[in-house]
Amino acid sequence: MAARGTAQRPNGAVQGKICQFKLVLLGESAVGKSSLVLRFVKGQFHEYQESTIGAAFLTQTVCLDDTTVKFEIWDTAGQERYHSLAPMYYRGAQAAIVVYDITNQDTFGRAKTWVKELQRQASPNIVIALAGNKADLSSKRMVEYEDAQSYSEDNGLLFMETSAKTAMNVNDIFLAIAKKLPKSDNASAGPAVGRQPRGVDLRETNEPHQGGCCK
Amino acid sequence: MSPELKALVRSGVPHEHRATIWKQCIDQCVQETRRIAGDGYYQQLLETIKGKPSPAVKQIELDLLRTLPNNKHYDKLDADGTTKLRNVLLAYSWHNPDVGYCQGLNRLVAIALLYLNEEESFWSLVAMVEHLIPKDYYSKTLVASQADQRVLRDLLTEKLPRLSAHFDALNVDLSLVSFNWFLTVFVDSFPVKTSLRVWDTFLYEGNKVLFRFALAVFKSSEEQLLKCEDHMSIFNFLRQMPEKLTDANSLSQFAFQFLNPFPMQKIRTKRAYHLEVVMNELAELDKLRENYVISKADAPESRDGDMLGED
Repeated sequence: MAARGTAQRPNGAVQGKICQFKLVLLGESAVGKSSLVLRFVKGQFHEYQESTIGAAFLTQTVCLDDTTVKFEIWDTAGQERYHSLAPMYYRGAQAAIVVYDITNQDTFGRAKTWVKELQRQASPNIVIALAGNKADLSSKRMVEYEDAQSYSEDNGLLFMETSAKTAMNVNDIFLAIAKKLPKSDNASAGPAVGRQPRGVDLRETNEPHQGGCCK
Repeated sequence: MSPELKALVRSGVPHEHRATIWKQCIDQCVQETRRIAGDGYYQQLLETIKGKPSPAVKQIELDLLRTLPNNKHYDKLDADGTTKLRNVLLAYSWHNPDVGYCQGLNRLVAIALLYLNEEESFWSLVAMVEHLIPKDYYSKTLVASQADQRVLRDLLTEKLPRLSAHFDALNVDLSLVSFNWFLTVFVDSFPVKTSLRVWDTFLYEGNKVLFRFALAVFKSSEEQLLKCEDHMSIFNFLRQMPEKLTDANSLSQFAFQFLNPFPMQKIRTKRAYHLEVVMNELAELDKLRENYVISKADAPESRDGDMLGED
């Protein structure tokens, strides 16, 4: 799904770039996917965040130098049987955050499975970040920082330990993703957005990977 | 089922009669199952599952405080509602191992428990999952709920062609949003009073009414949706709008009057068609995964078992 200009450029006047990216959150149940999003989008945290059924949609904008990056965020359900719906949500996504809980080894294993699936089935140039969430609970840590870091290096992932509760690294991980996403101009990115395909076709070519996003 | 009662239920069950009406709707569905199961079936289930580990147990525990966290009956582990919620979900996972526990069922039980006692709530879940909702809605691949989202898309094309064309033009996949509506019977999206109105008719008529209410949501905001110029604004709108639907009467009018006729036979035919399509797609996907696993197995071992091969 391409991030083509939602910015109005009536006379082609140059403004700061506006880029729009689809980002999906994946990971085992109760690792804190929704909490990370809630912290990032609303700056809030609830000890008991409603479990996500199906998926939830939110948006947030970050600024990088002269570029405004608009994230279209799909926060998915973690229970295994919702797995069959996941392709609907990561299809056409330019970025993914795969989340695990540092106090639960199983969730790290599950995260690796998600990474594999994304590498195999999502857009070829998808930017994947691994988030070791609940870093505030380091006294109960079961997943070593170094293990996750070396796994991330081997697989070309961005990696941070995060805490939705304390806000540690939450904005940072989204910013790091925003920085890594291609933002070069795309000649084909005109204001006529309406009828462009919007990344629901698995086989659709993903312009931003070739040309970057809009201006 | 009488046309008069149906009309009355559609116009809203008064709060003080809700428990009675809901109970009757449920009894009608589960009478036979209950008779065969025999007296004390629910208590036996509770006895049987005591202390038994299962995958369902783990997920249920994770979800108890994440069901309706802002409702005082469910905001603590020792709150009266939480205990009942746990019992009903555990008992059901044992009663119906094909479904076990699926996220979403927790919302259904939590709402039922607001009006019914624990055992009645268990039977309400039996009624919902096994009678009022098509088979395989909550089972391992959610295949029937996937099919229903496509049925909804077809119905939208028929009932609201302009909006449907608009969604097509912006390449909006509605199911991304509507899944949640169907799996939680609108508990997540509508204000409580409005969702209870959906529940009244849902328990009386079955989940066909979910199509009606979903389409009513679109109808009631058709003009605003047509003004949205990209898919992001549509999804944003659809996220925020349902929680503002406090006028249950006007929504019901859209659902039950504007949308007529709404023949069940048509839905059945569409369901059967889409169910087959979805099942074929899932089989295809499984094959892809299998082939991948096989090709991985043939490939030389990488340094890290978790590293990806060349493909």
